[in-house]
Order: sequence, then C-alpha cells, then structure tokens
Amino acid sequence: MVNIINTGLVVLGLVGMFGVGGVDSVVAKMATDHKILVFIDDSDTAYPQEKFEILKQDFMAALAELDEDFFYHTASVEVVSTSGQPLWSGTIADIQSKKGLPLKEAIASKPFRCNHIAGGFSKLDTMLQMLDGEQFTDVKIYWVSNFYATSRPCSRETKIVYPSPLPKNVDFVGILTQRPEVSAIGMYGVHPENMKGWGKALEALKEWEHQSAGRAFGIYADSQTSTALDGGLEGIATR
Amino acid sequence: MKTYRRAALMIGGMIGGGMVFGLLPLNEALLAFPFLMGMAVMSSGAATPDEEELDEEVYQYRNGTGGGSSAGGALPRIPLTSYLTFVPCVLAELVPAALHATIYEHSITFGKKWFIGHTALIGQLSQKIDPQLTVNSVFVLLLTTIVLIAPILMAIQLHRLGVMERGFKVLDNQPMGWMKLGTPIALYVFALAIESWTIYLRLQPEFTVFIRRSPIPNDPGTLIAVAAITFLFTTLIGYWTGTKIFHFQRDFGREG
Repeated sequence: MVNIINTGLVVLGLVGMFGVGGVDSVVAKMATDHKILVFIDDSDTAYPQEKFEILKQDFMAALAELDEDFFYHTASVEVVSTSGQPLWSGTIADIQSKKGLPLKEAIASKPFRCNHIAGGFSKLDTMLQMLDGEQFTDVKIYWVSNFYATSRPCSRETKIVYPSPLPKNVDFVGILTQRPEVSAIGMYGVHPENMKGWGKALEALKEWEHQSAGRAFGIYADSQTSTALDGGLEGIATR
Repeated sequence: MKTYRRAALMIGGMIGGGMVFGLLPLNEALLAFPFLMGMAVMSSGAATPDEEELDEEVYQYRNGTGGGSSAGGALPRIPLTSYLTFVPCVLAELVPAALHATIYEHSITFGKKWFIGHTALIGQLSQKIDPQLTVNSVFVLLLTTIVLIAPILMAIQLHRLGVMERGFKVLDNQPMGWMKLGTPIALYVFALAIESWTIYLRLQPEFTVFIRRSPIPNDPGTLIAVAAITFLFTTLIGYWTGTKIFHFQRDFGREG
C-alpha cells in the first residue's frame, strides 16, 4: 500500500514537472481575450488624500491578484487617468513586477491636478471605438475615483465642495455600454456625497446588467470599497 | 572510502532523489515536490537486510532487538496504546506547523512569483476542487508539509543507516548508503532553500509594488529572525519525531 502511494506521488510529480509546460501556450491564448480598462484618479481632489492613496493601492493589489487566475493572468491592462491621460499599459502579470514600478508612480496623486472626468469618459469612448472586437472578446471597465469633477484649468484656488456637479453633455451609460464585449463595470472610491448624483446618472446600468447573465455592475463609496475588493473585482469570480 | 567518493555518492542521491536542482527550471520545483517526497519516503523504507549485503555488525544491530521482520517469524501485534507515544510529537509538530504556515501566508503572495509559470494553473485547479481554496492556501499547505516532513525523514534515515549510533563511516560499508542519505537531505535542503527564497522575494521591492493593508509589518529583520528560529525549532522537533518513529518501527519489527 505504501509503495502504491509512493509510486503515485512520484508519478504525480513527474506529470507536474513535464506535463504542465505544454499548457502554458493554451493558457496564454485564452487569457489575451480579456481587456481591462482602468481609469484611476491621479488628481489631488480626494480628501483625506492619504486614505485615498491606500484605496488606490488596494485596488491595484486586487487587480494584481488576478495573476493567480487561469484566464486573466496575461490579460491586457490599460491604465488611464480619470482626466483621460494614458498612464500605463501591460498585462496583469506585469503589475507586481519591475514593470509595475512606473505604474505606482503614475497613479499617485499630483498636486493641483484636475479631475476632468468628462475627459476621462471621452478617452474611454475613443478607446472602445478603437477596440479590436476580434482580439478582445471580453472587456471590463473599472473606475477608481472620488468622482469629483473639476473644471479645467484648475489651480490652488479651485475650491473642492461636495457634492460635485456632474459633467454636462456626457452620455455616461451610452459610452460605457456601447460595445457588446463590455461585461463588467465597477466604480470604486466614490465620495459619499457624490454617490447620490452618480448613482442616479448610472442607474440605467442596473438594467443593462440584468439584460444578460454575464454582465456585472457595481458602484461603491470609498468606505465600501475595501470590503468590495475583498470579494474580488466586479464581474470576476473571487479567487 | 575516500571523502570525495562519499560526497559524490551523496550528491548523486540528492540529484537522483530531487531531480530538480540544476536539471529543471526553478519554477517547476514545487510541482516536483510529490516526486521528491515519494523518492525520500521510498528510500527511507524500501530496503531490507535480506536484499542487501550489509556489514555484519550493522545487520546485527538492526535485528538484534528481538527477531524482527527478517527473522521469518510472524510480526508482533502492535498494542493500540503504543500509538499514544506519538501524541506529544503530533502536538509539538503543530507549533512549528502554525509558525511556518504564518510565515508562508505572509510571504507567499510575493514568494510564489518564483512559480509564476504555473501559478495560474494551480489557481484554476484549486478552484475546481473548492471555490474557496486559494492559490495561497495550496502553496502554504504544500510548503508547510515539506518543511515538517523533511527533518522527520532525515532523522529516520540517519537511524536506519546506523549513522546516529556508529557515525558516518557506517555508510561506507553499505551499498548506496551515501546516496540513501542524500535523498532526505535533498528534501531538507529544498525546504530550507524554498523558505529562504520566498522570504527573500517578499523583501524585494519589485515584487511588492502594491500591498494590501496587512496587520503584519514588513520588517525584514524580524521576519528573517523568526523564520530562522522556526526552522531550527522545526528541525529539532522533526528529529525527535523521526527518532520516535524509528524506535517504534524497530520495536515492533516494522523497520526494513
């Protein structure tokens, strides 16, 4: 009996050592079907600033944890500021690596940086229009912001008063849901004062979510974000 | 026997038993663990005096305590109460197990970067078994098992080969003696190396770019000191447990 167990262990080891290598190429192919678009707030409008920086770290760490997911660990990631400036692009596996070091710097809040959310949505609109639907069959969109929309230009004199008015003439839902490949939309770190306004503006996303079984939508205030991230990113099963 | 010949044989045993060091990419090492452990267990229990031409004194020692399995008679029935002798060992092993598991849990998120090639696959397989089973828990379980079992197997082998009673020279008189010792040593070195490496990676900034809030501080000095003491403690407890297992097997004629 002991010999059978031992032989089993040896066989298992050999299969593990030599058998798994061939699977890598298949995994890589399946994983590249996923595109993850992250819009992250690099302005200095959030308060308290330190707490919001930790929240952003939490989000990126949760995103990096997808490295353990069979289908996502080489998924394509594009990180853009909420004002629409491209910050970083790579794969999930790159986030917790040397390639991730510039990302950490890029998402840090910059003094007197505007939070031009309309610009962010305009950039998202362009990105989705340019998306190659054959290469990426699944797109997930995440926003990490307090959703305080500043006017441009902004400066030291710009007053931050909550709740912030929503940008005008922007079809948020239309932009977010324009592509059938979009399967998940997550909004994290929303300032409590802004929850009401943005919740109302994005209300139609709940209906969009219910139209298909594979869709997910969630909007979380800053105080809810950490708990929400513990359960995994919106639309991706917990690891 | 010349020292270099002994060393060569022992290294041969390590490579033969481990088959991972230098021969396969490092990220395969964890998956090689079952292979390594199987070889170590087999080499510590497969041989019988009848099958090998042992030195006469060693032969007498190994069979001199009351007609063991090789005498040809029926094996004595083992009283159930005699298994109680292992209760303190099991309880004592729980302490290093908990300590090692804590260290691995703390460091493995970053340490498993070593195994990056197959982490995702392990994740997928573990999720099929149980959706709540995380990659971290699989790694922690495997690594803790390795680190606990390595010193036990090494102690059993040292006793079986007669090293503890007669010194290392006894291995010269046994066919493949040095190689047999090499295999559990390979597992032990593997456990030591893997723990050091995970902690080393835990302390590298490129692997800790984004860290979620954790109650455990990321203090290198404390982490290394705790790990070293834990490893030493595990070795001592493992040696004690291995010795008990050897004596148990010898007393009841189960020793090979």
